[in-house]
Formats: sequence, structure tokens, C-alpha cells
Amino acid sequence: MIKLAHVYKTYPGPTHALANVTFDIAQAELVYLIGPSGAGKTTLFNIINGFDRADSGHVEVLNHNMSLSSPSKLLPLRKKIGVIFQDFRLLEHVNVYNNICLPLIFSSFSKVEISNRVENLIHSLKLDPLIDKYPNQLSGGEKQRIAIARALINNPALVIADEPTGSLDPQTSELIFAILSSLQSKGTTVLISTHNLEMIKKFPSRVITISGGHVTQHQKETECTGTI
Amino acid sequence: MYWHHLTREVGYLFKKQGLIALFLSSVLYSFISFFIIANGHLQVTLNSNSQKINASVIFKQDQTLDDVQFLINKISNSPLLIQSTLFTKQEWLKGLSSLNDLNGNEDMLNQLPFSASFEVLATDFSKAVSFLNELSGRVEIDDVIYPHSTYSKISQFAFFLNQSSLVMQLFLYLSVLGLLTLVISSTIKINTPTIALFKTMGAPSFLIILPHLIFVFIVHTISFFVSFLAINKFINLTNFHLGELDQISQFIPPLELPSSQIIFAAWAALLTLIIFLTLGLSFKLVRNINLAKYLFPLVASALVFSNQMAYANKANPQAYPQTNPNKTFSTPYELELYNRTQKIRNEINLIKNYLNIHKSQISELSEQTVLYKKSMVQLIIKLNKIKLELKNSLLSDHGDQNKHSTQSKYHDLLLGHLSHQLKKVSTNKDKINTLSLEHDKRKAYLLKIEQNLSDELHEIVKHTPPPVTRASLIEKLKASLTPQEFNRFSEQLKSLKLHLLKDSLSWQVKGLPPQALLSGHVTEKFTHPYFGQTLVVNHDNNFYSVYLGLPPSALKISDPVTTGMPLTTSALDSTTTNPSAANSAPMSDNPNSSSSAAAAPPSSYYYWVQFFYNQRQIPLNLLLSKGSTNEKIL
Repeated sequence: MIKLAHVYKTYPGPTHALANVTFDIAQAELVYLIGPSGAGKTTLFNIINGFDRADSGHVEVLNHNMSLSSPSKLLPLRKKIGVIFQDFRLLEHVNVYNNICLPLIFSSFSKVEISNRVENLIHSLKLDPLIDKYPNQLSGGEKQRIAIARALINNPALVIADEPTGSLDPQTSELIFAILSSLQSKGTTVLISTHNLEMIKKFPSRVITISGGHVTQHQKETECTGTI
Repeated sequence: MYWHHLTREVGYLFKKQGLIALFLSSVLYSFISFFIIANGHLQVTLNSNSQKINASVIFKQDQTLDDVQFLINKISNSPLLIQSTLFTKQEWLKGLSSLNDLNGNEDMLNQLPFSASFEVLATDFSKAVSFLNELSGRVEIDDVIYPHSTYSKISQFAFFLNQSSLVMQLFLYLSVLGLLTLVISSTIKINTPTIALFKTMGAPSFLIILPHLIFVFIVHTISFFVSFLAINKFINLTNFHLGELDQISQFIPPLELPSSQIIFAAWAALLTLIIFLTLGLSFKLVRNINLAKYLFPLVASALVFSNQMAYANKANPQAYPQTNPNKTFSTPYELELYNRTQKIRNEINLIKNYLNIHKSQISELSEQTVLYKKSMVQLIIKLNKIKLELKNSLLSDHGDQNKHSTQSKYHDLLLGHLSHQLKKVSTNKDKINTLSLEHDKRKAYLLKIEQNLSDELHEIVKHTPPPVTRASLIEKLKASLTPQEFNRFSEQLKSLKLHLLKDSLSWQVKGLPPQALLSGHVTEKFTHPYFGQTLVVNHDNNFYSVYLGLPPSALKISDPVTTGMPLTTSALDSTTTNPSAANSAPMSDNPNSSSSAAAAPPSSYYYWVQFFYNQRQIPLNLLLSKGSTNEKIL
């Protein structure tokens, strides 16, 4: 699903943002990416998303060689990847329904199909009461659930979540992690960047630790201890 | 939903970088505008090749006799040839002198019924300019037109600009390209949160680029027009001198945005919008931001470049001579006639304006008179009332002396007022009469000018030569020759292939010996490089015949010839092989032309005759040019 081999990335400055990063993520696998701020997590996410290119090394996402793909070829690939942000990034001037259906509009789905998909997803995520509300009427947890719904509406093969619970309380965080970990059972690969070790313990899975641009550890969920 | 969001995105971009983008664009476009305008002025000044200036002199209301005297001295002493539209230099001077002889009756100056206009012709352009400079202090010089001026005399700088306009335009184009690329690339890098979000969802590129394009389009449109108008205003307000064009800059007409230019601008804006939309909507064309980043400045630069070219064309008097951009002229004569007509038309318009002003003045004065009259009536009524009261009080002995006195004073006051009003009415009547007289006078003058114009137009039509055709040429010939002469001429016409070469007939003759077509005298004798021996015979009445490819002839210039007289030394000479005979074939469009002359005596000898009807000189240079190719076969 995701293959990185000897990936290097350098920005102007003395240090490598990423240095010799190598790991594989299989289909339907849930992987946590942990590490201190500035460790290279966001750079790694951008490379996996195709927003940035590695200076060297091999990056393969959903069987696409990201180093060779042109921007036009990345467009269909991005539709197969759901992205969740720490700050939700909802459109403030449109309601929940329209926020969720946004990726479907870009994929040129018919109105009927958009309506069916959104309703099904909203129902499964128990977001029905929020459907007509606007983002400024929602709590942080609700916003993140809407953002998750938006990421899932296209039935993505890969979901990337960058600090999805960074600004949420523990209870809401647990709910969000529950939703994300449940995707695994549906065959979706999930890559979560987080500092929340409590949640990793509650929803154990493989953990990749990155520090100073290097992958320092590949741990199984049972081995994950300590603090970040 | 995206379209709903678009305005917000554009607004966000304005908030983020609107000011800096506007500033940079304005600087950029000011630079461009300056060059466009400067270049336009230079084109007006430079694309010309004679030394004529047309200037209209308007006599101001406060013109003094000194000014008139000054003008007389200047014009009479100037070595420059000054031609008025309607009057000669002498008439001008005479008219002005008669004004000068009015012995201080300066009011008469206001009687000048027209704004005079004249042409200044000088061998040196700078002299014409300095002459106008001297006049400009005393009389108001308006509407100076430079139909033709010399660039070589102005300065090396101007010469360089003129000669290297292509380099200038290329430089400008590259500058625009570079600066626009900088501005656009700095703008398009802005990543709004929404755009960042859309990117993660795989939104099409055009949706991501479109807000930037709209933003940049708005910024650049505003900047372009604002800076263009500002620079234009600046140049006009400050009388900004362009390089060494100082001495003529004050006569450079202010650059205006005529309606055609506005239409052009609107068209350019629409075109730009269409291009942007096409770029945005064409997903295959604009695959990523980088491509748009480079395409956009190219498109914008092309628009700017085309705009500049439009100005260059507008300013090019050869492409759009004089003030009428839609009119083109085939000959300088037509251009001159057109200019004269235009000038007369301008004068008529000016006088019409005067007439309108007079009319309004008369109407205003009439209104005033009516008001005065009303006021007078009221005063008279009051006066009568007071009179009556006064009379009644005088009749009754019980009247109060003080009251009498007061009423009497009031009475006097009213009488004074009444008298004043009467004076005003009288003055107004005089003014109305004067204005009416002047009005009539100017009207008569207008009619006269209109008549002149009509006559002149008539003359133009009369003197426009009708197109020369074979029939018209033959008709003229018939009218000028005796029947015997014409019959001889027409015999040849019947049997020979004719060519119409401008205003001449030409044909190839096969036979012996070469004979004079009509009586006359030899005016030219020379050896044509292609045909050989050539004689030109003048038959008077504007007819000439030219014999090309003759054998040696004893005739000399000014020798008389008679009809049918052999032109060669002897018949024997004519049998000698003519070296150019074989070469004459290219002149014949019909290779079987010899068969058309089967009735002629058998001979291997050919010569060419050209028969001209021409008020001007025979175009010998045309004859001398080897093998004329612009002939028209009848």
C-alpha cells in the first residue's frame, strides 16, 4: 500500500528533514506515526500525499510511484486518499452536508449519488442531527467527526490523519480513534500521526517512531511505551 | 458551491496581497504606459517626411492692436511661406493691416468673424516650430497638426528611437514579461486554506488557479487603466518634455482616449477574460499552477504588446493619415484636398459655435428685458398708486405735510428707479441689436464659407480625372484630330493588338518602312537599352507617339515630321536585322500577334509604337525601364 525506501528530503538549512526513511505499510493496516515536533512527520505526510517530492529514494503509494507521477496523474490518486487535519479545515460558510460532499463534487458524482452517499455515511457516523448546522455551531469533536466523514465519503483506500485529536478532549479523542481504528476492518489503510500515547494503548497497532528525520523504531502495539 | 466560494477566495487574496499587487502592477503599468504614450507621441512626430505645420490661430476677445501689429510684422517679415485656408498670405496681411488702420478702435477686433488658420511651410522644421513659439505669446494657437515633420532634425535621440523602434518594443516586451512574471509568481504562491484543502481532495487545477487568475486580472486591469490615465494626465498637465522634443512638446496635441480606443480596451478586457476562462476551464491545457504561472504573463504581455501596437498604428500617419483614421488616400493631391476641406469644415463648425453662443446671449438678454419690463410695469403701477394718493391728499386740506413729503420722496425714488430700469432696457435692446447684427453678419459669413466649401468640393469633383479607358482615350483623340488623321490612326487600331499602359495606347507594328503616325516634331531621340533606337514625336494637343526599336534614323531632335513620313534613314536600312527585334517578343502577350498583322507587307522587321495622351510629361523613365510589366491588355 505504502512503500518508502531510502527516502531523503532536505530543505534549505543544515539538517535533513528526512534521512534514509524506509518502511512499508500493508493494506488495511493501522499505523501510528509518532515523534516530537519537527521530527519530519508533516514532511513525510506531504510526500505521501504528493504535495512534496523526495530528493531521493523510492516512494510508492497505492501502487503509484510518487517520484515519477506528474501533477495531473496525482489528481485521481488524491481522490483515493482521505486526509484529516488537526484544525479540521471545514468551510465555514457552508453547512455540514456541503462540507462532507465536497470531494464528491470534485469527483463529478451525480446529485442523487452524492445525496445517497452522504446520508449513508452521516447515518453510520451518527451525525444526522448536525446535517444542517454550520461549522461555527459545532464543537471541536463534532467538527473532527465531520472532517472524518468528509475524508471517508470517497471510500478512500488510504486515510491519513495528521494529529486528529490534537485539540480535542480525551473523551472525544477516544471517539475519534474508535472511528479511525474501525476503518481497518473495512479494508482501509490508516496512517495516523499523533502524540497521544494513551489512545495508542487503547487502540493498539504498529507504531513508527521518527526523530530528526530518521525512523528510529518500528514497534508493535504491545511494545509501545514511554512518552514523546 | 465552488462558485459561491470563489468570491471569498478572491476577497481573501485581495486582503492578503491586494495592496502590494496593486502597487507593483501600477508601477509596472505606469512604466509601460509612459512608454506607450511617449512612443505614440514620437510616432506622431517622427513618422513624417516634410516640413509643414498646420496651425489654427484664434483671436481672443481681449486681442489688442499691438498683438495684431505683432502678427503682421511676424508674418510679413517671416521668410516662411504662410498659407491660409481661405486667404493667401497677402490677403491675410491686407486684412490685418486694415484692422490696424482702425486707429485704436479696438472694439472692431471683436468683429473678426473667424478663427483664422494657416499653414507654415518651412525648409527647416525647427524654424517653423520656433515661429509658432513666437506667435504663441500673442495669439492663441490651437489645434496644431503635424501631418509631416522631420525626425532627422529633431535629435539623435529621436532618430535612434525611430530607427530602433523594434528594439524598443522588444525591450519593452521583455521588461513586461519579466516584471509580470515576478508579480504573478509572487501572487500565485498564496495558498489559501481552502485551496490547500481542495488540493488534498484532488480538485481540478482550474478550480485552484481560478481565484488567482481573477484576482490578478482585476488587479492588472485596475492598475493598467489607472496608471495609463494617470501618466497621460501627468504628461498633459506638466507638459512633460520627452527627451529633446522640448521645443515641439507644447504643440503636441493631448492624447485622448477616443471612443475607438475605449472600444479597443473593452475588447481587450473581454478577450483577456475569455482567455483566462479558457485557460481555467481547459483542464488539459492547465495541468498545474506552474504552467499557468508562465502562461499568464505571456498572455498579459501579448495584450499589452498588442495595445502598444494599436497605439503605434493610431499614431502612424501613413496608416491613418491626418485626423480621420478611417480615411486613406491614394495620392498626395487627394490628401491635400481632403485636408483643405477638413479645415474649412472646422472653421464652419467654429462659426456655428459662435452663432450658438450669440443665440444664447440674445436669448438671455431678451429674458432680462422681459424681466425689466415686468418690473417696470409694477413700478408704474406703484407710481400711479402713489400719484393718486398724493393727489387725494393734496385735494384734502387735512393732509399731513410729513406724509406728503414722504410720499413725494418715495415717488421720486420710484421715478429714479423707473428711469434706471428704462436705461437698462434700452441698453439691453442695444446689446440685442448689436448681437443680432453680429449674428447676421456671422451667419452671412458662414453661408459664404459654406458656399466656398461647396464650390471647392465642386472643383474637386470637376478636377478629379476620370479613369482612363481605351474608349475615353480614343474619344479624346477623335476630338483632337482631323478626320483624316483619325482615320489613319483608327486603321491601325482595327488591325493591331492594343495595350493600355496608364494613359497610353501601344501596339506592335510589322512592316516597312516605319512611318510617322501623325505630323509633329521630334522631341526625344535616344537608344533604349532594350528596344534600341527610340524616337519621341510631339503631335501637339497633348499627343505624343513613341517609336521603339527603329533602325538608325537621320532625324534629329526638333526636326519636323509629317503624317506618313518615313522615320528611318532609308527603306533599305529598315531591312537590316534589328538586334532588339527578337527581344521585343516579351512585350507581346500574344505570340501570334504577327498573324494579326497579316495584311501588312511581309517583313521580318517589328517596332513598337506607343501613343500617349498626357497632360504631363511622357514617362520616359517608364519607357526606359526594361520591359514594362504593368500593362493592361485590352
